[in-house]
Amino acid sequence: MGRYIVKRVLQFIPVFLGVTLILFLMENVVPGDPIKLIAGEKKLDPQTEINLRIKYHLIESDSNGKPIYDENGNTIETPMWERYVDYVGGLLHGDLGYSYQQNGKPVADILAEKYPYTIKLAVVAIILEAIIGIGAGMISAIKRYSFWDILVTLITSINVSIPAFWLGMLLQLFFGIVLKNATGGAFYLPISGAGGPTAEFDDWVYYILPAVTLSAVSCAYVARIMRSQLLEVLGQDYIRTARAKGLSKHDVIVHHALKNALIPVVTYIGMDFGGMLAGAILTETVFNWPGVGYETYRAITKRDWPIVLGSVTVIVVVVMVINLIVDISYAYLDPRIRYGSPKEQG
Amino acid sequence: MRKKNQEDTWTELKEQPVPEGHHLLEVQDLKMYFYTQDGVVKAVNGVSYNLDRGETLGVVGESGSGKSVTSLTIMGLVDMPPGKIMGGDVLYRGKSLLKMSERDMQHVRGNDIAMIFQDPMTSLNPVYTIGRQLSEGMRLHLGYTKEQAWKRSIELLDMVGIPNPEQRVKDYPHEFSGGMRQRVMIAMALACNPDILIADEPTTALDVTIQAQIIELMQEMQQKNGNAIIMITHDLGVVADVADKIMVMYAGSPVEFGTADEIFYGSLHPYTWGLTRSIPDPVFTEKHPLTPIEGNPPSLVNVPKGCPFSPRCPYATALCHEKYPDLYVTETGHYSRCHYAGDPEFVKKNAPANSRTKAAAKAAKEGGEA
Repeated sequence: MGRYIVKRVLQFIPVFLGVTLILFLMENVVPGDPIKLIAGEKKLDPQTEINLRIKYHLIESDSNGKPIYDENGNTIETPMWERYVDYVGGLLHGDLGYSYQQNGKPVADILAEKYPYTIKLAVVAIILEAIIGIGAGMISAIKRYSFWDILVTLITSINVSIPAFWLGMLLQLFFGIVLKNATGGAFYLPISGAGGPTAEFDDWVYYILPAVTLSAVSCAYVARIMRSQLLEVLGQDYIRTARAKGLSKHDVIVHHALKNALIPVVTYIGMDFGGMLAGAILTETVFNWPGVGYETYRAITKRDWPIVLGSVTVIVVVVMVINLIVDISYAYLDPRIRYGSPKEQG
Repeated sequence: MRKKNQEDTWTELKEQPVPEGHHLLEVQDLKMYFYTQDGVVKAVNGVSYNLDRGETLGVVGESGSGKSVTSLTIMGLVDMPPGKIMGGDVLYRGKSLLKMSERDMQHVRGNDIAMIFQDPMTSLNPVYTIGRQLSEGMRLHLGYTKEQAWKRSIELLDMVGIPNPEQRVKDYPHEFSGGMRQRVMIAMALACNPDILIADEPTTALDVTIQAQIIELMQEMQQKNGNAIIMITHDLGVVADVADKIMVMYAGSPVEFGTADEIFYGSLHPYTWGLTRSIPDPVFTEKHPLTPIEGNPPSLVNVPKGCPFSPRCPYATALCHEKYPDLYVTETGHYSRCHYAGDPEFVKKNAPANSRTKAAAKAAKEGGEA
């Protein structure tokens, strides 16, 4: 197992380099000078402009932060490969560069501020997804062809075909406006933002609609996977063996069927959690959620490349780590999977 | 998991004596049909037999003849619906299993009547250790603690001939071979010392060399524990050695029932003859090939009119195609469901030769010459 983890972590390196390189190249292919972007309408004085270019590694500078001039007295533009090496070197020290907007704030600080919101929303959504998805799937499988099974099948079919942003808007319309008007303002759910200035759960009502929106589609998938898996497992010979031992139907489902049926469900939920931690751009944008997804969306529209680059880099790492955790958790759920040691295989 | 000691109303059935006038297990004209979209499948259609402790009953028939479903019905493991009991009864120590509540039935399963299944590769749960799966029944029925059950599991594995049981008990099913897994299944079935062991084609999925070992193991365990065995198989050769009584099934009903001796040396049903002829024999050569039973078993949705075997029976007459045959019962309890079972000439002319008839013919011939 130890060797397997080391191998997987080593595999991170080429993926990481590849993704950052592609993003870095994309940033440079897109037309527009970042300094002009920062300046906007204003006219910068030459010294400020040179300082900014040094800050963003656009021109060569010496160790004191003074620009280096060529024989004609012009600043020397840093070659792209050197800026890429600088960038990756910075990443290793936790330096994600500086935002073009937001007064040149370090990207690492911006992400550190936004990530707690995204993580908490993802946790709430994944709990909803697991409980409702697995529960609905189980009911559906155990009471096959009953009213509840048909209801679950119907709702999941509708759910998977609704785009998250549209569902979010409908929920906002109903819980934020229609319900508020109908009850004379007595009862409604907040439809924008995350409440207070910190990502505490005091303002838990703010989490309801975004979490429901974020988990809706996955919830339907979890229910479907759970249903088909449980039905498949319940048809297995070892279930009959367990029944022949004298176990009740309930014990057979809880002790024998569930663990087997959950293996693919856990995979799906794990992968989905990785995706949610990457920031749910649509959901966060619809609900003005102050997380990385919304921040990334804003950065893209404003061409704030360092933030896009930084957040995607962090997302890549997070998703890779989550995937590794999912793969490792397999081995605990299914003893037939043993990583790394040839003795235990087969 | 519910433990035994939490139950107070239940009396241990296997500790009760068999009531006067009853057998250990009595199956009386059992009928179980499946109601499917395609129609009514008469999977078990009038099965009757008795079984006592220490006895072995062989249930023989082709695939789809209702052998397994009969035993699953006895165990109460058929899903209802689509299954439905249409008549008959199953008495275990004089008590009806069919009228028992699901809760009481859970005490009987694994405790009084245990079952071994055909495919040991898929009959064990892949995600739990052998020890946990062995312990489960003992903790449920015998009220063992985890430690007691684990200790007993090691003893059971040792008993069924698994080497190094202290280590193996911690292993998972995929770390065992097919034969080993079937040994584990036997250990699991015998864990609570059941009265009746139902073995549903226990050797079909195994190598020939392992088959003999598994059969021997079951017999050895039977001698030790005195339990009854119901051995379901499509292979007459397997039951020849082990069974005291044999029931031959066709299309959901028993067509012949008798002692092993009666079935092998004095069979009264053409279907049994067909099965006997299809036992491979070393003297069979290209010139003397194996004689199969022509055709296929009927669909249980559409059982042929008259005798169900009549379309495949080489001796069928107009009567056979019209009328469902009555049971022909001899004094010893040997019965056959054939119109002509009572006709000694018919039987003598058409029954396959066996070692006894050959010897008798030889003796008669020699006697005639002398």
